[in-house]
Amino acid sequence: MDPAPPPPHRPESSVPTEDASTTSPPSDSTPPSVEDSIPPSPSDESASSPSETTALLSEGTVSPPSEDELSTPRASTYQPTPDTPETTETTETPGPTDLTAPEENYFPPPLLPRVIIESTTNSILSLQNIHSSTSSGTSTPGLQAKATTAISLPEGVHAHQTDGASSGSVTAAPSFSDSNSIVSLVPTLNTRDNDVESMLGEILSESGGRFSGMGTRLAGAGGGFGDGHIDDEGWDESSDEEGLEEEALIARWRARKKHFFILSSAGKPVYSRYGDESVVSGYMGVIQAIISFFQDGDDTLKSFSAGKHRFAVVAEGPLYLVAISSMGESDSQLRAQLDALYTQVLSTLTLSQLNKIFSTRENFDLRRLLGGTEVFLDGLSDAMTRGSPQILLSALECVKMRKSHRERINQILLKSRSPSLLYGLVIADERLVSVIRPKRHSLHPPDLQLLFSMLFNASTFRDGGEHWTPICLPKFNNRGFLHAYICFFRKEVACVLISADKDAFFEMRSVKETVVEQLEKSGSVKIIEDAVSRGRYITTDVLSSTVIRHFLYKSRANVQFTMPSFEPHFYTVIARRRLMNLYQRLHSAVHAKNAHLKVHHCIRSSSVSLSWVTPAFELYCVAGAGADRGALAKGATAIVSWVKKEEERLFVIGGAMF
Amino acid sequence: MAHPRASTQSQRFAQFKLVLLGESAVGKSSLVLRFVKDQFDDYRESTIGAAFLTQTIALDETTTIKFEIWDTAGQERYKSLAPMYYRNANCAVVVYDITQASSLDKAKAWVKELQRQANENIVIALAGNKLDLASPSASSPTSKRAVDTAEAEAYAREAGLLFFETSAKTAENVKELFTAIAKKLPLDQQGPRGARAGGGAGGRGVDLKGGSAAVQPGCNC
Ligand SMILES: Nc1nc2c(ncn2[C@@H]2O[C@H](COP(=O)(O)OP(=O)(O)OP(=O)(O)O)[C@@H](O)[C@H]2O)c(=O)[nH]1
Ligand SMILES: [Mg+2]
Repeated sequence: MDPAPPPPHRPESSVPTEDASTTSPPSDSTPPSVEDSIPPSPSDESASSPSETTALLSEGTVSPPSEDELSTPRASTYQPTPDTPETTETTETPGPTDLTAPEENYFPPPLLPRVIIESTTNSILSLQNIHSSTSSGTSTPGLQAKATTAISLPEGVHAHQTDGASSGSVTAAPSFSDSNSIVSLVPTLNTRDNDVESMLGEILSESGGRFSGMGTRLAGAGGGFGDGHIDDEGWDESSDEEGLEEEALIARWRARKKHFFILSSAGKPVYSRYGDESVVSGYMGVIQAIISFFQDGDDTLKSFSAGKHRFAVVAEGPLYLVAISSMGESDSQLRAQLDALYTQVLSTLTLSQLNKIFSTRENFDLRRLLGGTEVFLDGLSDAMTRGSPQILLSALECVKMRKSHRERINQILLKSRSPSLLYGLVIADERLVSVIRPKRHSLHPPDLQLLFSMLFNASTFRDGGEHWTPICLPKFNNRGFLHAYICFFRKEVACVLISADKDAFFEMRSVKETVVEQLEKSGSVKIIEDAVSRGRYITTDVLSSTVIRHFLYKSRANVQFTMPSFEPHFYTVIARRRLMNLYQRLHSAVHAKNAHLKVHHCIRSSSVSLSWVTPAFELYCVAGAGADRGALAKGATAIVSWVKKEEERLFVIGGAMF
Repeated sequence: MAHPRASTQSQRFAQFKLVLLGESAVGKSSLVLRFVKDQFDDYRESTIGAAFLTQTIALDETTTIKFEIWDTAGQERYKSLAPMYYRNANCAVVVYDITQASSLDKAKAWVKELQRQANENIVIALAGNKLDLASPSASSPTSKRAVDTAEAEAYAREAGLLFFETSAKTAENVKELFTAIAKKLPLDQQGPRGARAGGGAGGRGVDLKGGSAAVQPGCNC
């Protein structure tokens, strides 16, 4: 739908010239400097998520409790890892094994070959042409923590590799990631002989897709710019969907853009965002059949396309998670979303329980044990369908406030803590205000995202009351439960106190009482509430006059991001959705494998955007159609220096430790 | 109500731990919400873990009772956590849904467990909730009742339980339920009499000891 983007090599395709901080192009593995070092090593892609996670607010690794059952009485058995350095937030973790016991890896061994099925006919779903390509052994489903950036050059995209401080604008050669993979022979499903086609066809037609639009444009991790369908309809409210109520709009987006399924490896439905059971269980059976078909051939199905729908599959132990999306996400983005859902499931059950259940009863109906948590899965699914910067960037957002104000809150938490407190957090409006933790224990962004999502994407905890619940924070320890005291002491402000001791409720409760009292006395509650009601800053607060309408800035060292308010330009659900969709593509383009893209311009009929990646940060800026790219580049540079200046207000740096 | 606290010995304040048990969706949280905030939600999310609430009622001119309430989650996976909530409880409300016969069976199982494992003097009330659904309405011209009052009442009598049919939605019998419990709790003696929290249970049972249940003379805190 976006057939005529500007040709490449337009003369004015200059790059941000002002800033010197970009590094030499091909090497993202440039050793980070002490100040802005980034944790993940590019050579460590398969372990990328854990290695990045350690950077957040923490430097240590975790040697977790081995508690398993809810009924296990005692929990204070988590042991510190003795050799954890205690310096800056840059510690490299070797891999997933430091997070969990080696025999229970969170992620499966890194051998899953990637399978790409491209639909190349107009049939509803053709599985006849299956290109199976074995990708470089990465199996990490989630969290694009990779330090590598990549190039991908669909039409209309100009890539530039900046060279040090210079403004050299070399346009890189197109290099579609994944296209270098080997096409191997994979048995073909005969669609005529079974119901696969018709059943999946139903899903697809139910979701309003037309299958003539080829999936080829979605092939490859970085090729996400093909689908212009969505955001070229216009930037903001002015679309044919105007006039519908917001909720109706959301419903429409959902209905036709995305599905999430979770099923057991025996094909039993575990979760589905839409559709009632009778419909869904049929699809689940089909999906299970397809997945196990590949497994029987010692292959693992990871993703395929059917028409404009991309299917991503994650097999995690006894569960399969499937995302079906026509929103143009890359495979790794979809897998990150699935991983967030999986994290949600684990938080309820622990991996140990999950494995135990299915090892004894393969046909177990897991919904029995997930009862009541559908609201969290739904909330998360919907947030990801709306577009979640948190999950896209696998980073956290903080409430912007003065350093001294935040420090005061930190101090209050530190002074009020009690012996069995493990983590203490103040969270407002789905953003972090303050966190305290023991020196030896990390906090991991996926765990925190889980917590944030449970608190803010469902109303369960938001009644002003006090809650005490077992919770598994899978990155902390996927085999045991911690216990969380959760209290929204103001409408949008929660205090979360996590202990390993299931009997610590009253202890946590009195910590909370002290904390809230002190926060009130010191005026901090008001500061937090004001910050919440003020909302995020707007772009023009940062740059008085600029073409930039919105941006995402991720600080890689802090594993945090900041962004302005969606107002005024992206206020409506649709406009916001389109913006997030664009961000997804920008992100996907600079994160595609095998390329070293530093700066990336994307010109579309409705927008001009710029992505800029350095070892220290990722910045995505969006301007309206026809914006001058020089001006955009200038704005980007100004944002970077603004963030640098405001860093201690925008981010929680290090977190308070005890 | 609101009495001069100067009134010496006759002014009594007691604090008791109450736990709600019962199958998921029978209306435990709704009953508590009605009791504590006098509100009702048509749509309530299932409780995760447990929620803790307090409510103070004036029993009579001289007696104030503070309930510390554990609203537990009825979902199956939390079953093993229940003892930590009922172990120190002075009283329990076991809830079933009068429109779901199976929920009474579940309630009976809870009663049995309480009588075996909880404090031996625990006061137990059986509440058949969603009474409003028993009467025909526009949306449902016939009664949805699936458990006979007489049947449940007979069981309650036999098992030595207080019994009420309640509606969190209309508030019918909710206050009455909690008041009846309060009246049955031993207030006459002072001192750590109601305070079985600290005593008796011992071992891991003292874990959720936080606010101890104690009858305190002349204290209105
Ligand atoms: N008509 C009617 N509905 C009720 C009544 N009480 C509760 N409900 C509804 O029943 C549903 C479940 O109520 P909850 O209070 O959440 O049930 P619960 O026992 O706390 O469930 P769990 O937390 O999962 O253990 C909600 O949708 C309530 O609105 C009632 O008295 N009458
Ligand atoms: Mg409840």
